[in-house]
Amino acid sequence: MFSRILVKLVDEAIVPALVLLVARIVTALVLTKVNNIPFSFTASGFVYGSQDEFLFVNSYSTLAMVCVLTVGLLYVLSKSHFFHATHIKPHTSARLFSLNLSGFIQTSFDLYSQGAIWLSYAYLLLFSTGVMVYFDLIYSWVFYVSAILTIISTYLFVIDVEKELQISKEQSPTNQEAVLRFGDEEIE
Amino acid sequence: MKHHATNFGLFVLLLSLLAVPMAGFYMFNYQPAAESGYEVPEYVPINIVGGSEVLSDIDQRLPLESSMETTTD
Repeated sequence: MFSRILVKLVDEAIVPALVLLVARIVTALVLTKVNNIPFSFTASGFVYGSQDEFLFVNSYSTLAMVCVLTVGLLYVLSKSHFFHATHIKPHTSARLFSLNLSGFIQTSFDLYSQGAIWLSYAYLLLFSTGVMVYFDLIYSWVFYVSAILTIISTYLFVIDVEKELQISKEQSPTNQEAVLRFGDEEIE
Repeated sequence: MKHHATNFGLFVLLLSLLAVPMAGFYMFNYQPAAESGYEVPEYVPINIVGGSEVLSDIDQRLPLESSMETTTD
């Protein structure tokens, strides 16, 4: 039996992986074209003529990855805060159905699997930028931007999980049992 | 046991997918200017005249433009 969670995570990880990689390569190519930076494409990848050019292209293409991550995380976090099936406001739900956008309303399983994947990429990027800053391969401010993004998105994600836990606690079977017992006692 | 193997395979697949964007960090590199040939090399060729005798390091240096052409040729 396949693990449902693992299958879902693999499914959700494919698109962000490709988008992030493509964003980095396209940004690097655009930067070299716009700034007329000579480079050669060898077996070891893009090779630049000087450290300054390499630093420039490496930093801004990493920043492009951070921007793509920001957009992805904002999309997932906004869905989990405003369109979460467990705590969506009735008038928002009604409006989405009237606009034929009911697909925006998603369950915790969908949202948290997407959130886990995007946050994993954020932490991996934070780790990678940290290593590159240590070896002077990118500008240090790229690492700080990545760190701020990771901290804010983790905080917002935790807030949503807290909200979800509160809702599930209120709707737990123990509470329902208490209500039923209370009703039984009244009947007696 | 078979289920564990399958799920472990899925887990490895997930980790490799997570590593795909990080692989981009190894795609960029640089070489020192003198080796790459894109910039003026650290040395300037000296035109030796009068047999094997070097007359002067200053006077006999070629202009910058011609020295670049010399290296690219």
